[in-house]
Parts: sequence; C-alpha cells; structure tokens
Amino acid sequence: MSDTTVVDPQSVAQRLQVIKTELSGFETFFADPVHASDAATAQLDRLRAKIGQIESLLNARAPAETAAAGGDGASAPLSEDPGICAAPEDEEAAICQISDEFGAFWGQVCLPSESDQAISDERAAIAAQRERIGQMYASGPLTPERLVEIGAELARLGNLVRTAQQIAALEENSPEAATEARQAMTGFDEELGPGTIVTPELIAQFEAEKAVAEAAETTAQEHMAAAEALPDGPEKDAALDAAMQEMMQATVDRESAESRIQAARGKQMLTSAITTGPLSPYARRPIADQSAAQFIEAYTRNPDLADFAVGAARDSANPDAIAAGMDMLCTNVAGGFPDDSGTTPPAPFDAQGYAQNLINGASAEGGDYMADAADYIRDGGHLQQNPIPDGTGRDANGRERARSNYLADAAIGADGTLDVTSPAAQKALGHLRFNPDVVDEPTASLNAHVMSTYDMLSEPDNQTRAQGILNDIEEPQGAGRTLVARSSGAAAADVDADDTRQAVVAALMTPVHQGNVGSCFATAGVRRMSTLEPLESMEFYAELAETGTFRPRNRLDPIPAVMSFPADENPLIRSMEYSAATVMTQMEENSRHDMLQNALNESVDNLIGPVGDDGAIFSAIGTDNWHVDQALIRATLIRSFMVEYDATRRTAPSADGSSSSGVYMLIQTEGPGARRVIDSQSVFVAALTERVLFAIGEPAGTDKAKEISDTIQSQDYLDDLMSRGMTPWNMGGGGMPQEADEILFGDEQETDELLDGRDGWDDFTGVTQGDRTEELLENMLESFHEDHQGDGMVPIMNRGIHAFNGLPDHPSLAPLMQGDIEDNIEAQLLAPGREIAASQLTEAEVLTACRATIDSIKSWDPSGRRRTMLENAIGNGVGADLTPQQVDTAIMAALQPYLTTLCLDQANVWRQQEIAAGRACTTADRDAHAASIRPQWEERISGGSVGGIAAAAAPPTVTVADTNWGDATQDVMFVMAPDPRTGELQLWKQYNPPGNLVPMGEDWVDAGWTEHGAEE
Amino acid sequence: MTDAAAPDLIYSVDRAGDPVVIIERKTEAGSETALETYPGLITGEYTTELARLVNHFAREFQYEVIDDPAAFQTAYMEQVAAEDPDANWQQGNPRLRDFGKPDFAQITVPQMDGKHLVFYAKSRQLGVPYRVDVDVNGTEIGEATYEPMAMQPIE
Repeated sequence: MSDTTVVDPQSVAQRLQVIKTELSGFETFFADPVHASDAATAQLDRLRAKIGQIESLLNARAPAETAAAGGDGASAPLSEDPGICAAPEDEEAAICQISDEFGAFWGQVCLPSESDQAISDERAAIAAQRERIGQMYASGPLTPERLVEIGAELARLGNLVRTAQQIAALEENSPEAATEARQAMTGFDEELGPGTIVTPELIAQFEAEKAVAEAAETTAQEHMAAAEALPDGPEKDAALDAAMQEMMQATVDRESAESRIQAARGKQMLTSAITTGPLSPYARRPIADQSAAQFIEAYTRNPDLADFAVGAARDSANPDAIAAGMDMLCTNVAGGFPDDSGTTPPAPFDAQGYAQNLINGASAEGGDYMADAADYIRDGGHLQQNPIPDGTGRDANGRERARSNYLADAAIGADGTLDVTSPAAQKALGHLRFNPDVVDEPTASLNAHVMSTYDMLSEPDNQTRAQGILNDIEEPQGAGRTLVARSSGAAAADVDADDTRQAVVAALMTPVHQGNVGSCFATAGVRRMSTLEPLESMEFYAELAETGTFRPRNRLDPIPAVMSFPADENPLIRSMEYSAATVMTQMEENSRHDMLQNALNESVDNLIGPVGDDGAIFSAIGTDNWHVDQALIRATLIRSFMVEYDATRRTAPSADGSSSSGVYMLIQTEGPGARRVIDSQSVFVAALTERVLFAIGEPAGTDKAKEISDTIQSQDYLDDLMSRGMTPWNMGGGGMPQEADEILFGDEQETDELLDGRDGWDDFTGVTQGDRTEELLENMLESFHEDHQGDGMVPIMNRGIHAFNGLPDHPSLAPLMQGDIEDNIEAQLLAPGREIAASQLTEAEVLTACRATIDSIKSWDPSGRRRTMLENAIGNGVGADLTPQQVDTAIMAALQPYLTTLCLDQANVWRQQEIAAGRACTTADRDAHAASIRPQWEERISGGSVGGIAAAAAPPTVTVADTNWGDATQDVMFVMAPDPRTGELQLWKQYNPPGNLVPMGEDWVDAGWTEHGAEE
Repeated sequence: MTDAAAPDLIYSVDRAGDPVVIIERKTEAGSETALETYPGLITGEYTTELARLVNHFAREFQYEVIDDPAAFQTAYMEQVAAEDPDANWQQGNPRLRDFGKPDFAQITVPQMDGKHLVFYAKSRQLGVPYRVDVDVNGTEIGEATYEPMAMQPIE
C-alpha cells in the first residue's frame, strides 16, 4: 500500500463483506462436530474479533467522512485506527491481512481430512479447490478485483464443503443414499465446474446458450439447403462442408448446453431434496435408504422426473414401490418407451407425462406395480391407443362403468367361463393399470378393487362358486331387464342371459361408494359385504339382475328393485344399496309404528276401560262392551297413522355435509286429517280424539265425546302415554345400520357403545375434543384388539351422522395394540404431536402448507378469479420458522380478503335467487346474508389450512375406519392424528390417493359412537 | 249363521299387538273362528273378504288387498304423474317412479282355485302391488307368499 492511496470506503466495505461471507462459510463448516476442533474455534474467534473491529470502525467513521467530503464521501480517506492500522491508507492492508490469514487458515485447519466422512473424490475436489484458492492468495497483491475472484472461488469451496456436510449427514441412516449422492454431485460438478452454485440466473444462462445453439442449428440447416441448391462443383462442395461443420458445432453446443441444464437442474433439485426435502435426514417421513439411493440416481438422468417422484413419495404410503421403478422409467423416457421389438408409441406421445402417471399408479397401488408395468411395456400393451371403449374422457362414474364392463367382458370367455387368469383377462387388467390413455385418467379405487377381485377369483373354490352363480342366471325379468340394459348400454328388449352375466361380473369388479344421497346406513353394509364377502354380493347382484327383485336375508318380504339413480352409476350396486335402504326404512318405520301402537293400545285401554278393572285409570267411555270398543279403537288407530322417515330433516347439524341424520314422523293416513304430519301435541290430541270418536261411532258434541276429548287433552293422559316411551309428535331420529345389516347378512344385531355422546348422561364439563377423541380411539382399539382381530371390518355408527366400517386389522393400528394401548397412544401419537406443535416449520415447509391449503380450497371452489386471490395471498408462503399454530394464524389472516370475496359472491347469487323468486332483497340484505354465512365458510377454509399444515408437519396417523365415501378415483378413510397446532388428538378424513388430511368437525366427536355385530 | 251371510269383520290387534278380527262388532277372535263363522269365505262367495282376512293375519296392516284393479291402476298412474320425474331417489320417501309400473292387466280381484287363493295387494309403505299366494284348507290358512310384481320403467 502506498501512502498516496485513496481508499474507496465502499470498496473496503465490499471486501469486508466478502470476508464475512468467508467467515460464515467457516462457521458453518466447523459447526459440524465432524470438523470441529479447538484450533479452528480459536482461529475463528480471533478472525471474528478482527472483522468486528474493522466493521465498527467503518460504521463509526462513515458520517464524519461523508461530512468531510462535503456530503459526497465517495473518495474520502479513512482516518487512522491505532487499534488495527497505523494510518488510514493501511485499512485496506488490514483487510488484506485478514484475507491472508484466511488463506493460512485453510492450509492449517480447515480440512481435518482424517475425520472427514467425505469419500476420496469428494475430498480430492475440496482439496483441489483449496489449493486453487491458496495459489490465488499467493500469486500477487490482493487487489479488490482479485479479492472478488477469490471470493467467488471461496464460495465454490464453501459449496463443496456444504455439500460434503449435507451428504455426510445422510451417512448415518442412509449410507447407500449418501454414496449415490456423492457420485451424483461429482458428476454434476464435472459438467458444471467444482462447487458451482446453481442459481436461476445460471440456468437461464444455459437456456440462453441452448437457444443460441438451436438458432445456429436452424441457420446451419438453411445454409445446408442453400448449399444443396448450388450447382455441382467445388463451390457447392465447400459450402456443404462448411454447413456441415456449422451444424456439427451447433449440435455439439446445443447438447453441451442441454447437459449443463440437466446437470444444473439435477444439482439444484437434488441439493434441495437431500438438505430440506423428502430425502434429507430431517425429513418428517424418512424414505428407506435403498429407495432414496434409487431416487438420487434418477436425479442424474432425469431431474424433473426424479423430483416429481420424490414429491409423490413424500406423501405416499408406497414410496418404495415408486423408487423401484425409477431406473426403468428414466431409461424408457430417454428411449421413448420402446417395446421388445423397439417399437415406440406413435407421436404425439408424452413420455415424461406417461412416466409421471405410472409414478402415481405405483404410489396408489404399491407392491410390484413398476415391475408389472415394465412387463406390460415390453409386451407392447402401451402401444394400443384407448383400448377400453368409452373408458376415457368421462367423469369418474362413467370411467368406472366403462372399465368394469370391459373387464367383465374380458373375464368371461366365449363359452361363459369366468377366468381372470386367461390371457384376455390379464391383458385387460394390464390396460387398466398401465395403458397410457387409461392411466392419464386414473381410477385408483377401482383398480384396487379389481386387483382384489382378481385375487379372490383366482382361488379355485371362489371361481367355482362364482361360476355357479353365473351358470344359474337366466334371461332377466321385470326391473332386472332394465338394470341389465343400463349396465350394458343395450336396449332393454335386447338383453339376454349373457348380458346379465356380464352385468353381474361388472358389478363384482366395481367398488361400492356412497352416492350423492344420504344412504350411508345401507351403504356401509353393502360396502362391507363387497369387501369381505364379495360372492355374497354377487348373489345379490345376480338376483337383482335376473328377477328385478331385492330379497332381504332376514325373511322380510322382497321388494321390487329400485331403478331410480343417476346415469353412469353401476345399476346393480346402486339398486342393491337403495333397495336395502328402502327395506331398512320400512323395517324401522314398522318397528316404531309397533312401538307407538303398543303405547297407544295401553293408553287407550286405560282411556276406555272401567276404573279399577283391567288397569283402566281414566274411564272416559266406560261402555258395557268396553273390550270390543278397545279393539275397534285399536283397529282404527293402527290404520290411521303411519311412521315415515324423512332423510332431509336433521336432528343435529353436520358440518361435514356428507351424511344425513333424518327423522321419523307420524303421518295421519285416514280421517279428515289424512296426510297430516303429527308434529305437535295439539295436532296429535285433535287427531287422536277424532279417531277415537270415529272408531266407537260417537258423534262430536255429545257429553261423552266431550269427556273423551277432555281426557285425551289432560296432562295425566299424555303423561301416561309418554311414560310408555313414545312421544307421537316427536318420533326421534337416527340411522338404522343394524337393520341394514340384518337385511343384508340375515343375522340379528347387537350394539355396543364406543363413546357416550356429549348429550348423554355423563358430565363432560371440561372435557376437550382431544380428550374425547383420545377416549374414542382407546375404546375402539380395545374393542378391535379383544373382539375383532381378523374381522376385516366392524360396523360403526356415529349416532345421527354417519354409518361406516372400522378397520380392526389396518396395519397402522398394530403397533398401538401391542401392550398397553393408553401408553402406546401417548408415545406414538400424543408425544410426537406435542413435539410438532412446539416445533417450527421451515420456509419450505410453510410453503408446502400453503400450497396444500390452496389445493384443498381449489377442490371445492372452482372460481378462477378467487383462485388467483388464493395464489396471491399465500401462493408464495407466509413466512419461515413459524410454529404450526403461527402458520395457521398467518394463513387465515392472509385469506380474509378471499373469504370476504367468497361470501359476497355467494350472497350475490343468493340475492339473485331471491329476486328471481319475487322477494325483495336489498344490498343490505345481501351483506347481512354474507355475514351470516361467513362462519361456515371460514370453518371450511380453516379445515383446508389445518390440513395443509398437516401435509407439511406430517403428524403420525393411524387409520381407524373406512368412510364409504369416495369414487372410482379415491377412497376416503377416517384417521386419527394429532392436530399439528395443538398436539391434541383429532379425527380426520384422509383422501387416498393422494393422502391429504381434512379435519372433521367437532360434531363428529360430540356425537355418541357405537359398534354392532351379529348376536352371539 | 248361513252360508250366504255377509261377513261383518273388523280387523284389529289385541292388546299384545297380535292380529285379531272383531266379528259383528261383538266378538274379538282369530282367523279360525272367523272362517268357521262365515263358511262363505272359503266357498268362494266372499273371496275378497277372505283375501282381507288372510292378508290381515299374514301381514296385519302392511298391505291392502286390491279389490278394484281398475281403480288401483288409475290411482297408481295419477300418483306417478304427480311425481317429479327428475327427482333423485330419497331414503324414506319412496316414489312409484323408483320402482316403475306393473303390467296392470295381470292384476285381478282375489280368486280361489280350489284351495289356492291368489290376490294382489298394495304395499302401504311403497304403494307397489304384490301378488299373494296362499293355500286355505278349511279353516287352516297356509303360509302366504308376497312377491312384488315384475316392473317396467316409467319413461
């Protein structure tokens, strides 16, 4: 440094920043226990102190220098600082000295290679970079420009070291993945340069280079064409040679750019995956070592596909099944998916998209999906376009019907033999699982059911029984003809026994899900039979198809098959479900009618018998022939009233909206009030009085009539009636799953309580939803463990809301049932839940939560305008290092404008409807309506937010029940998992695939829970 | 009581809820007494009343004997016309359209063929017709079968 040097303070500050970055790299490196040493710590402390001193000095001097320079300050000299430098112009030298010390530091302590877990190539790359930097430090005066160059190299070195650290962190639990990651990173750096930090700008630069090369290829082609047009001769030859050279160079440049793009993207994505992503040692759901290695290898070959697969694996129940196919998929995408003969699908064919669909298929199905897919592709099945007639381009129900019909056709041979092992049946199954057109519109639930049905029918005994059912089928009759026609698409007049068999097998191949009406009490039983006893279901289907009649198995009278349901739903399944529900309702109505009649019988006996004789207490009539009068009144009353079930009325609100509670009502069927609903005490008293007088032929207005009327109106009489367990104007609600199961399975049912409702006898003051959920899970597990191991499914009812099937053998429950259930719940669910609630989500995890929230809301809000609002509000996250509760608060705060718009839009629609109906409706009315609906929409959005946070925080989940909901594309399960915001246990529904969680409303756990089964 | 005497029967239940018949508004009795009291029931003079008696003791008030097939058809089709053809099936609210319509020509008044009684009855809850077959041997009533009639969709 010369005495005349004028030091630019901005430049000094910049260099200081470089050094601070350098220091930061050291601090990160030595923070890892693998690299830490006392010497390094001491050296770092010393350097940190020196840098701090310079920084303080610069900060302190800046105002004075600015003033001395007349406000400019750009070239003001630094004043002397005796603590560091002898003269102002030595400031830069002081910084350079620190840089030199860094250089020495590298040489002394920065790489304790003996303890470093880096493999030799990795270590060699770091050493080479360190050497390069050392040479740069030693090669001359450290000018500002050279410091910047060194800083860049130091950053690369830091990146190499960080990468080594990140991979070393994988080593403990994933040694195979760590090895694969080292090889991958080494390969990327060979393409990009050691320690290259991949930035969006770098990738953009490579993209630009590729574009230039492609343009050059185009130009070369034009030159080639121009040369071809020249007359033959030396000039043409020279022009052709030049064009060829030009083309070769452009191609080399393009391929080089593509390689760099792939390497850059691969490095960028892999780095993210192994540091904070699903492959990192900190992943909330770790992926097995071998699978992680397979994914990492794929990043070197097809980074986008690998990243898609890792994203799918993160949320999948079958990550290993996905990983197992990565090599096959990368090879096939590169090769265009050739079959054994080398034939590839005709253009246009989206190889990458097909690979992604197969990944989704493996995620949903698991097992050997990818190996089977490879076989299918080698055999050329994928070359066939749209192999399933009408199997694509339709909604889920339409696809399901077309695909199940196709499978049934393939499974039944020309001779009527049902054989799922036949080449035709196996080929059809292959198309369902793997065909490009078919998997582009997946039907995961249908596929799973079909696989299970194929397995079942592969058993000789089952095949024999199924064949017997088919062989017994004759030409359909009555409603059966209509049902078969709706299944096959043929005209009803044309269907025959073969069509009937095909319809029956198609129904057998179709999973049962609840339709869009409140039929859950029957659906649960129909679905359980379809799952556990599919050949019993087949008997029902055959009976419905052939005879058009539904025959309850509990000796009740058959009914004509219900034929009324939406198009494209499987006619036999829906008819079975609705027919069973119809009989079930009849059964319960009759039961309640009998109860009412018995109560009335007794009270009427008391009404008209002589006091003191035969228990009579009122003696309003007191005729000589009173016992006949009693019979006459009974005869009248039993005809005059019916009990009807109204599924549209609710006894309790249900936030979920997926089910219907329904209520029973007494309807007058004879007399002046016929078709009147008995919905109040006064209506009942009037109806009963009129009917009693009618029965005994007593005219109104007589003294006796008045006496009867007064007695019936008396509180004593009504109390006596109600003491018999029946309030005629309030017949109660609730479902009838037990009756449905008696109808379907023939056994009388008995019920056990799982959880007393909040409206029950017990005092639940101070009991939280988490407490109740915990008690519910404990009771379910005890019942499953003690009474239902191996049962597959247990009918459960959430009183007044829903009937469904518990899953006592679900693998996720097994660890909870080994030993003390309460302790297990605490250790496996509650303790991790509390840990999650207390933890902070990283920026990436918060973003995941926000994206999942958006996806959840988008699933029910189709408005493009509002979707844009969602994206703008939380599409880029809401922060970093926040607890789950804080994330929820931030998301809900950010979504308030969206919520306001949503409510206002809904209110505007409502207002238009009001006006169209001729009712006055002002904007103030609209705003009031918007305010009134806001809580329910906010609750729904909150569900999306909590589910989104769960997607990021990945709380432990256990699957307790099958909801009956879903369609051909997915099943919906009830799972228990901690609420990530509070750690308290929560009931959720989980959509499979993809596995996202949505919390159930509080009413679900407020209600009582029961299970039932065949009486022993 | 003569063979030609018209039965005077009121169908009811006893205090326990079991079916009984009130004869001439005086006597509460079972089916056997009714058949003994009115021989015309089983000699074909009062076949429709016999059908009511059989129906009552077989199913109490769940079914109504169809004694006027033409009126039944008219009422049936009027109800069909009153139903919303676009409405979905709804639990507890059965509509005739859910089941379709029978071949009304098959529905006859109750008929005895020897000891075999055939009649048609309307389900009180569903409104659809059933064919009922039962043997009546003297005062002994066999087990009645209730089979829903074959149905065709209502377009």
